[in-house]
Amino acid sequence: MAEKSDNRWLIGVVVILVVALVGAVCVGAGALLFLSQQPTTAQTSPVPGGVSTPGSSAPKPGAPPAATRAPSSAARNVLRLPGEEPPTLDPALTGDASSAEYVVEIFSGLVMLDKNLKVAPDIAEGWKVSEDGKTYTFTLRKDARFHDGRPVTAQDFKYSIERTANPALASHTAETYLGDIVGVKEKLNRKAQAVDGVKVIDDYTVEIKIDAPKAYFLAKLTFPTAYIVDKNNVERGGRTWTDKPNGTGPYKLQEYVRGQRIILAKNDNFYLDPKPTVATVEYILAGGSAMTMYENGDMEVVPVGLSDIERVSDPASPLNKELYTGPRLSTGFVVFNTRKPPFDDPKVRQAFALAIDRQKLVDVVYRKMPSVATTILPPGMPGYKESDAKPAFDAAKAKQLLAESKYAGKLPEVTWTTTGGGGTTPQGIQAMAAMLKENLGVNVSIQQTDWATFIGQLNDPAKNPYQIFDIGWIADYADPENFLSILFRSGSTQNWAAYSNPEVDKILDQAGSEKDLTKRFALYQQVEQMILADNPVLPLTFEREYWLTKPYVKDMLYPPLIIPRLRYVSLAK
Amino acid sequence: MASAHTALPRQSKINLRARSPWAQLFMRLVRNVPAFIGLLFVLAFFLVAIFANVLSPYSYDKQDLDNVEKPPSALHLAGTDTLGRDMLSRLIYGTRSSAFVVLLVTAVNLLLGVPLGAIAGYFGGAVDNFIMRVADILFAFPGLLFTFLIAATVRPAILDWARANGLGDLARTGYLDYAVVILALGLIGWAGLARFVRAQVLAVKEREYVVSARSTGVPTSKVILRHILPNALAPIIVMLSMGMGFIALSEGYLSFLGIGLQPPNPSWGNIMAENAGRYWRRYPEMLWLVFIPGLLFTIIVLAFSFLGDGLNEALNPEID
Repeated sequence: MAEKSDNRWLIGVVVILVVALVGAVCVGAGALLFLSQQPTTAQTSPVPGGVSTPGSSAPKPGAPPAATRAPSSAARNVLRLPGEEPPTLDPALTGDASSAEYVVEIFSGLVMLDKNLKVAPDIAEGWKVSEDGKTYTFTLRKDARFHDGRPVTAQDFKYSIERTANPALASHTAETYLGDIVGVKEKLNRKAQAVDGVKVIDDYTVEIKIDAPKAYFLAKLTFPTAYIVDKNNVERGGRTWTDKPNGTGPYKLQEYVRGQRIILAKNDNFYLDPKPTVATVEYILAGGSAMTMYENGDMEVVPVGLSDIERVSDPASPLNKELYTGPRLSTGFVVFNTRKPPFDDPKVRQAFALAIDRQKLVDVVYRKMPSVATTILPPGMPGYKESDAKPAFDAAKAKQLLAESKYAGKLPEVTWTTTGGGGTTPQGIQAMAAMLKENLGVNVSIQQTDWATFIGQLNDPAKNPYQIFDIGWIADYADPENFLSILFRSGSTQNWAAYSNPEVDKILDQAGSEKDLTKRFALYQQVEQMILADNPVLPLTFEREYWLTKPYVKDMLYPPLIIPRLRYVSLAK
Repeated sequence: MASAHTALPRQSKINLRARSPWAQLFMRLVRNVPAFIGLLFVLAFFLVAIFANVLSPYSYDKQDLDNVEKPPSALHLAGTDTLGRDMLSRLIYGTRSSAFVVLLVTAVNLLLGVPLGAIAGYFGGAVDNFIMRVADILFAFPGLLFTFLIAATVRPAILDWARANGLGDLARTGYLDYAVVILALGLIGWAGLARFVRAQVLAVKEREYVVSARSTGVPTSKVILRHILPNALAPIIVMLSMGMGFIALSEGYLSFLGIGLQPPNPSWGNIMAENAGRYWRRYPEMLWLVFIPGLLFTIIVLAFSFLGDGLNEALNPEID
């Protein structure tokens, strides 16, 4: 038995505790102090490290100077911002916002969305639509090149579409975004080898046939699913080809360290104006406090979170001048899986929906950062109809509905799945679970999972194991079809609730080919009300953008949906 | 700390007449002031844990969104958190989580560490070698990483199994998934105790009374249980008591990292984690949100240490 070492041991514990406590209390301020001493030497080019004496070998070109301090970000022409780990960088598989963020910069397609969210020429310099609205003829730019310098031709487009439609690739977005093209569904169902609807007329002309005139078809081509990939790159790269993608976009993938960072470098041969000017864009994937890094000058751009919104919104705060707030074409939902008990009973869905006090949730827990959603389409979306109805909340009626449901008194176990790994459950989800307990007497357990697993399960609505979950949808293009058909038409791969209503399907199809805009939007509004009456989802929030931008960053865009935006940005020295 | 000890009456002066050894031990313990204080806090810790449902003024998950982030008041003695839940009730239930883990991990350590250490020490040779090499491997294995591994792989399977077999209520309370993670911690924690018990066994197994017991044909199990372990009991008690503080702290960091008890079930660790974001930003406005659970950790770790220290001195009076 150790003798007097007990005291030493005790002192050790006390020291550790004191250090831990003091450390914990000081972390915020301490990190600030430590990081604010970062160097701001303005050097425009790297200086070779060490003194090269005559006869010694010259420093390797391009090697960063070992002991010199890093020059400031603007001088190095680097834009740093927090990023999220993308589930994929393959355009054909991209179906979520965190992947699309990078894919739209590295790759490009025939058409894109410009700053005003209008469909604009990209690799195609122009197009003609036939009288019947079913044939599109695109003329490709002659100066569009892959990052390795190879010119882009019509064959590349055909290859890319057929690759995406290849059932072996199992792209869950192929049918959603390309399904209108004649032959894509056949190929996906292994009934055809080629996609007949895409015809190469010559190297720079391609013709696309669709199954019916569709107002939103061009807009769908702006989504990554229709982007062009390089056949050699894909076939030689094997399964990991996206680690070294040879795209056509304004930025190249320079480095991708999982869980750490994604570095994009500008493509000097980009074919459109304005050309990218920021040399490197560094997305920091490793958590950490982005806000603290921003305040210390280690990031140029940062989203504002719940913890900081009050402080940043205060007009007296110097940060307030750097704050951008703007709309976002995005709605946050609580989704009820209509295939899973107890949510296969519409009364249970309605009861759950009525038991959640959205107004209070948004006002208190979300600190009014988003606004309360009462419709599926967010404000700013064509077809959005403002409703002055208060968000429905009625605990008594909710209880009554639950008692009338077929699960009255024998409600099965309910587990709410939400995203996030480690850390604690988002407060909003906890608050909603507490509301369900209080207003309905239902004990909901909460389960967390990472984004990639979560989205992977959702991609197969027929097998999705989650009963109730929360997820947002951000528009891919400004058309109501993008919300209503994609999320609620029977059989759509993004139909998270596995919702199916033949009446709804019929009107959705009718609206899709309706040419008269007023009639078309009226149809969508009608169908939206029908969907809401069935409660496959509870629209929760309309999201907004809150960003801080350093004053030396010019023309950083925070568009309400994901568009290629980095080439517009520049850094003032 | 050291000065506090010298100020105490020396144990040799204690009147030891006509008392059972346990009573003597207790008397020696309570005369040691830090140990006595430690004992009181430890008792309070377990009592609060047992009577959490009686003591807490509100339910731990009763939220009041009209009264969020209120400072301590007569209505809410420890204030309310960001969802308007009563902090005092959450801390009291957090004590229950903490005590649950402390006891469970200690039990696992005891049940694995003592027999394995005794077997290794008594039999020696290949058995000893095998057990101690496993212990060495566990020593080298980072406990936190192992717990992450268990949380990611075993826990979902066990939860599914529980739900499928009518144990849904247990799964929902959170204690089941907690138990899985903490068992993982216990499974690697036995190595230290085993090594220690082995050393104790080695020290006494060649003593005359053990040799004579063996030579008269007493069965091996009886030799170990009757003659060897009782002599190692005192240091084992000390070691377990000192270890409890660290287990409480481990529970804290696991919950802080979000792999322990899942909200809304409270644990001191996840209470701190939940409130930390707000706390840093508005420091020092909302001290109670993070400071109180932090203080509780400090107190309980110190209490277990003092108690262990006091037990050590009480059990080994000849050390003076």
